[in-house]
Amino acid sequence: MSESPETPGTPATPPPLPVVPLRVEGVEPAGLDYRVHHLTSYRYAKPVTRNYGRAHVEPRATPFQRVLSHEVTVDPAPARLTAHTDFYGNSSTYLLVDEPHERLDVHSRAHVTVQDRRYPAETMQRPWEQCTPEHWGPLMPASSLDFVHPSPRIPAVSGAREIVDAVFTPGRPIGEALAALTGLIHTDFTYDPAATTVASTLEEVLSARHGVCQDFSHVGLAVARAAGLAARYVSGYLRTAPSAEGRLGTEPAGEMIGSAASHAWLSVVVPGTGWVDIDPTNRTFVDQRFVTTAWGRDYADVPPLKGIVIGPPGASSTLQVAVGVVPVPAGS
Amino acid sequence: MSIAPPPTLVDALEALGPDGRRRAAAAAGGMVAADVSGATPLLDPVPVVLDAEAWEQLSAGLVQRARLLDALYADLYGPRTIFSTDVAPSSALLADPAYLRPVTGIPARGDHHLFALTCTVERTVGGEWRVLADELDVPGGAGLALEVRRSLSRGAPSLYGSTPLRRLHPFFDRVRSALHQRTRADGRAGRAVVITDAGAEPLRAFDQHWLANLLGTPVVSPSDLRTGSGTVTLRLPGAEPDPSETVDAIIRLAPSARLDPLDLGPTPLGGVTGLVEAARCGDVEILNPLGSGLLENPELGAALPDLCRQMLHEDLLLRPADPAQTEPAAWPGLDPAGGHALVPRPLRLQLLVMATEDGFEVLPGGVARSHDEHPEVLRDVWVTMPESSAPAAAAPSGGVGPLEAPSAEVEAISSYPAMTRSIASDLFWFGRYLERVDSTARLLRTVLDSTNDLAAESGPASRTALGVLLGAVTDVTTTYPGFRSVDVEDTTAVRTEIASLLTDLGRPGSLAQSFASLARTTRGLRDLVSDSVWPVIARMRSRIRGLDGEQPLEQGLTDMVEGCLALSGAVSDSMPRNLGWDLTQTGRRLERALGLLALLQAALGRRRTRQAESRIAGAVAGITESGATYRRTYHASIQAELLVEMLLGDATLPRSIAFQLEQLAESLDRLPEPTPAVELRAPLAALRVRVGSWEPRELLRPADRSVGSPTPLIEEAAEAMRTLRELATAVENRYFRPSEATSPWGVDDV
Repeated sequence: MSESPETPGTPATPPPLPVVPLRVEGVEPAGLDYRVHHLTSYRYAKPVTRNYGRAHVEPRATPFQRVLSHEVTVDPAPARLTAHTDFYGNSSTYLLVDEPHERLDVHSRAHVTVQDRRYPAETMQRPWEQCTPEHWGPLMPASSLDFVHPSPRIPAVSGAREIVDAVFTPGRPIGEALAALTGLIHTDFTYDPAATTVASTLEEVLSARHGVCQDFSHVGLAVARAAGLAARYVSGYLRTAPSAEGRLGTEPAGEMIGSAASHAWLSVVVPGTGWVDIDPTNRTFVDQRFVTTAWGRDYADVPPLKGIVIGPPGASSTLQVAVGVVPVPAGS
Repeated sequence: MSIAPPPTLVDALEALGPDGRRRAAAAAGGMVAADVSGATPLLDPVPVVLDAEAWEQLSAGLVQRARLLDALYADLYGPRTIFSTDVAPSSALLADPAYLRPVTGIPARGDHHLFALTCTVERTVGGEWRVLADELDVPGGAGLALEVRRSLSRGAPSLYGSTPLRRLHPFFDRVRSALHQRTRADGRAGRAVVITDAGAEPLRAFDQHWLANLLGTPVVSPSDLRTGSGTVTLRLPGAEPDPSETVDAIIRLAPSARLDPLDLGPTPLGGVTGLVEAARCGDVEILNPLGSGLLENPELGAALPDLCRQMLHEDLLLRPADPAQTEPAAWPGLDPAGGHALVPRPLRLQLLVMATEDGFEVLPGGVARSHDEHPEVLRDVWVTMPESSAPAAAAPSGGVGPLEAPSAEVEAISSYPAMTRSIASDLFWFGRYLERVDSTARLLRTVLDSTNDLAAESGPASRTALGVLLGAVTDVTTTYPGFRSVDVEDTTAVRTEIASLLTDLGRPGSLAQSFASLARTTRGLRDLVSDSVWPVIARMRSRIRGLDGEQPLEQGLTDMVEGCLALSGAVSDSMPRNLGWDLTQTGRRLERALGLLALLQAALGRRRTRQAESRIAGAVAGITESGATYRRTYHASIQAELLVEMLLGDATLPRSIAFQLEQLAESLDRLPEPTPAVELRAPLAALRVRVGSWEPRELLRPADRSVGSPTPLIEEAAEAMRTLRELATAVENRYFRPSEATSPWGVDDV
């Protein structure tokens, strides 16, 4: 298991909380600008006839992220390329390539500005029991109730209940509990891309204690929901190292697991603050290194890319994914 | 306002008397054409009568309910404003797996989203109507309502002649007309198709196919549809999609959740890839729209009074039923305990609301189901004519005034292609399974006779003959080890194996399994042939069930053979002579030729004693219905060579090989050809030459003259069967089989 250098210590020790004063009126804190380029390439052994795809790859606007530009391009030229805003407010892209082809490239390019996240200290000190829907108050929309229930990929499972008892001890401040949950998953579960597939179930991940960021997010979601909290799955990217020569700049940034690919984490409702994002894979609260593309109840709502290919039997494919999230000087 | 039966009906019921009423119920039950998996539904001829005023009140409530649910659909799959209020059961709706997130934001083409709603209601003793359940994802009941009406009006004509009541068909004419207006808007062709639920049990499948028939829309399989950039097209047999064969609306009678593998999932792949996006972009309209099942959420009912005030600014007319407090009203009907007097029984009414040009409208009638500790009984729901408009004539014309006025001109309906790939495939396989069921039933019947003969007259020749025939059953049906492992003189073991071959649904090659396949292929046939196919299938199914010991096997087999004759007659007399006919014929001729060759090979492929051979030949003549012709041609006992000569070469005999090959060649010649079908014709021509050169005497006389040695017939028949099977595969590949595989993309593990 790869340890990130910034997550030392025992699971009981939460990482330092970014508790920072509220913003000063009229002063815009400095944002970090990124150029994002996500390329998904399929190569087929024989020419295929048609290809249907659904993508959630365009970064979305959030309180901490501005999208300055974004564009999805498909090669070969698609017969239909449409985008709509989905149930959760994400941009959802549909593509149809309706001519024989042996390769399919889907590029998503974006320019975003990411602010650092500041959570008021007193809200993070709230006992976690006071973060459940009955304590939300009028400002939280009722549609957030959507993230309280089990969802297609996250059924109610007993394995989650055990972690709840370990993490959500009575009266524990929510900030501390979330940090503990992040630490527990990071410590108890092994990051292993070979251990699971997108079809692995939550039960399998809980019993094998192996997985990738998607699985870790699902575990975190199952635990938070079992505790009665609203929690959603967030899909996005991590900063990658700037590249001198390659345009994509898809070298992993080094210190983080899951960069140079799609990444996933989870977000939990904390009344008074809104949604607080945590990344169990890297044992950290989400900060300016993260670019958000989409959220939903679980992976099934927002897979970065899925599709159906129609072609001769046995036209096997190979898949290559490259993601670059390269910081650029603001305004360039 | 009254729910009491009108005096005319009371008189007619009185005139029938207790025995007459029971006879009517039995007669009507026997006429239900629905092919049911369980027992035939029980019918009660005493109708549930609603007078015009009672109906007005009830249907106003149902129409309001449809409008409210329509508004709710628009909101739940649109702006979702109701979650910001405190009247909606937000948690229950959001947790409902029927809430399909990917289908939000799909526009409606008309001014409403919903097309149909089936509502189950009951009446309280206080005279209030209460709603028990709504069916919105796949609303059913239209076909059943018509079937109950049809069977009962035939079973109890005196009741139906006694009182003017509203007819059911005009309602569907108005629905069809509105559907046509809606689908042909914006210069579209106005073509609608129906997708039924392939997994539905037979009664529901019957109901769905009848609705398709009433709406005049063909039933297609999801694999017949292809989405593209701007259109949804029909895939025709043997051809690439014709861009002009567009589909503008899909009447969806299959559950939403499995209809688009791209956006709704899940695997295994089925449905129409890209259908959600096609609907979103307005290429096609889906009715009821995808995700309508959310409105069946049981917690919605209690919130409807508040939601109705909020969304429609009206008071809700029909309240949800509260089982704890509601005492349902009872309606007089036949005594389930067998008594003579009519007794009150609690009922639930299943009523159908559909979109017409005048907005939502309620079918003036429906099905009432008894709801007590006795077996469920179905009854007809009558809506009587208002007294002022009741026609003087005995035969009620039905409908209400202005709505009945014919439209100024009848527009030609856009034409549909003759058939789609899936129907073409069904027709080909219908032909094959019809022959398979027929030949299996005939073979087993003859073998049963021979078994019985052996009991009466045992000798070496009859023992040999029976052994050969039993072996032939196993060979022809390919149900090994079968009789190969049975002592032919063990009558019990023989009958057990025969019973298994008749009734074992899980055994490939059994009559039950071939019949199940036959029944499956007839679902689509209903639109093309005639309604009478269904009762035949229903009777055959009940015979198959009855073979399980309830009646003599011989009788059951004879009934199956008669069923095949009836189906064959229905096809011959009612089927348009088009591509469908040719494909059915191709399937039948191939299968009959294959079956006969397999029979001849198994029965006469080895040298036997004269006496045994003569007995076997006699049985083969019986199986192939050629005994009479033989006796007229030859004034001698049946000899194998002469019989084989006739069965191979006499092209005037509809069960001969020569006849099959001749007909097959004609059918193949008429099939549409994307490219000239040399690959189909050349092998068939070669086979005909080869069969023509066969010399029966040589075929049946082995070089080795000892008993049991193989004759040249074995090799020749095997060769011919190989060619025919290759031909069948070639037809399938050319016309139905998808040449493409559909697979999900590999995904990036994050």
